[in-house]
Amino acid sequence: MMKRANKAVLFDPLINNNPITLQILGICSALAVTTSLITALVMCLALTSVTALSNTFISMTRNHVPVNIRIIVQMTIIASLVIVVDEVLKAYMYEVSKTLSVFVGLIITNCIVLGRAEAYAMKNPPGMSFLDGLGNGLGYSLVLIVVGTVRELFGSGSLLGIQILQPVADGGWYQPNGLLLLPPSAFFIIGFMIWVIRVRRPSQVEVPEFKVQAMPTHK
Amino acid sequence: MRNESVWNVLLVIVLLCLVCSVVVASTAVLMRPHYEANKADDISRNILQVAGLYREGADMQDMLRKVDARFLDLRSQSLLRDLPSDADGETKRELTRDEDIAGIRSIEEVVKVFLVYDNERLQQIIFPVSGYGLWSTLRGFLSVQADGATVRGLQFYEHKETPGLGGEVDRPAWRKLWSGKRLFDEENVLRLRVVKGRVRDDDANAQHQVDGLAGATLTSRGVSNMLRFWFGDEFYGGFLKKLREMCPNGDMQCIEEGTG
Repeated sequence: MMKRANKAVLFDPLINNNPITLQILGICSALAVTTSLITALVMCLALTSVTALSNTFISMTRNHVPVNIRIIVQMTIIASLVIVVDEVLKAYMYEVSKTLSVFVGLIITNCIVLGRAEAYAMKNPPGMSFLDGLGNGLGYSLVLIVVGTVRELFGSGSLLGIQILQPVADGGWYQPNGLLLLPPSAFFIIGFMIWVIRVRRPSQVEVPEFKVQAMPTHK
Repeated sequence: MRNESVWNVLLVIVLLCLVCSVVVASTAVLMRPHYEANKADDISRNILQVAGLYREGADMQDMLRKVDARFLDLRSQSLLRDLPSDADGETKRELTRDEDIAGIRSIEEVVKVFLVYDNERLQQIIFPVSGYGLWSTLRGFLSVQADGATVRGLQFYEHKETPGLGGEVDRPAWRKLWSGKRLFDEENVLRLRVVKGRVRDDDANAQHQVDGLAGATLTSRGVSNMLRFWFGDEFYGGFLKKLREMCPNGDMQCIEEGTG
C-alpha cells in the first residue's frame, strides 16, 4: 500500500496543485499540441517521462552539486533527457513526431520541468522526487487530455483520428467549430477549467494582497 | 558534504558532461536503424500519396509494385533502368551562385524518378524536388501527368519550416491546390509558381498559380524557386520537353524508347 506522503505527492498535482490550472505553468505547449488528441497524448507521455526522470536524477545529485552551477547542471540533465525522448519518439512514433516537430524539443524550456526541479527535487530524496515529477506530469496530462479531446472532437469531429461527428464538408451534419482549431481556443478551455476547479475548490482562489476598506457611512 | 571549491565545480561539470554525452550519443546510435527505416517508409508513403496510390492500411509492398523506379541522368537528360556505370556514388555536383536558384548548394546528377503505369499506359512521372524555404531545405516529390505539363500533386516529406506558417505546406487543403495546375504554357515556357494571397479563379493565368501561404512569404518563394530550378530547361523541364518532342501525340508514352 502506498504511504500517505507518497500518495499526496503523486495525486496532489492532479487537482489540488495542478501545474497548469493552479501554478499556471507550461501553458505554451498546451496551446500548440492539443489540436488533436493523439499529439496531445504523446506530448503528455514525453513531458511526464522527462519531468519524472529529471526530478530523479537532479535529486540524486542534489547534495553534490556546487550551488553556483546548480541551474546549469539541472538544464544539462533536462536537455539530455529531452534529446533522448525526442530520439526515441522519432524512432518509434515517426508520424506523430513529425507533427510534434519542435515542441518536443521545447520541453527543455517548459517551466514545469525546471520549476519542479528547483522547488522539489533539490530538497527531497530521489524516490519522492520521482513521484513528484510523475504527479506533475499526470496533472499536466489531465489538462492536455481534456483540452485535446474538446478541440479535436468539436473542432474536427474526430477523436484519435476516428471520425465521430461527420462534418458537413464530408457530407455529414456537423459544422466543425473552426475556432477550436486555432491556439487561442486552448486558452479559453484552460480558463474555463480553472474557473470550474476554483468553484469546486474555493481554497485555490488566490487571496488578494490587499483589500479596499469600506468606510462606514456617516449618519 | 557539498564542496564549493573550483576543483569540485570542474569535476562535477566534467563528470556531468561525460555522462550526458554518453547517454545522448548511445541513444542516437541505438535509435538510428529504426529511424532510418521509418524515414524510408515515410518516403515511400509520400511517393504513393503524391501518385494517388496510397490506401491506409494496405500493404506497402503491394502498393509499391505499381511504381517503377528509374534513374534519370541529368547530364544527358536520359532515362535509364540501372545506375550508369560512371555513377559510382560520385555524381554530386556543386552549383554556382547563379545556378543555385533553389538554394540547395549541390545536386546529384543521377536522380531516381518513378513511373506510374496503368494497364501498360504511362500515367505519371514522379520527380524528386528540393528547395530552400525559410529555415530549411524542403524535400518532396512532384508528380507530372502523362501530358508532361499537368501536375498531379506536390508533397514534401521533409522540412523544418515554422509550424503553422511555412509548415502549412503539409496541410491537405494546400496540397490539393496543386492538382491540375500546369507547369508550362502553350509556348512551353515554365510558368507555375506560388503567388501572394489567393489565386482568383477567373484569372487567365490561374492554372499556373497556386495560393500563397499566409505569413510564410519566404517558404512560398522557396517553393516557387524550387519549381523554377528543377523544371527549367537544364533539368526536368528540359527532359519533359525532349520527351514530348520525341513522342508522337505530345504525350510521354514513348518514354521507354531510348531507356538504357
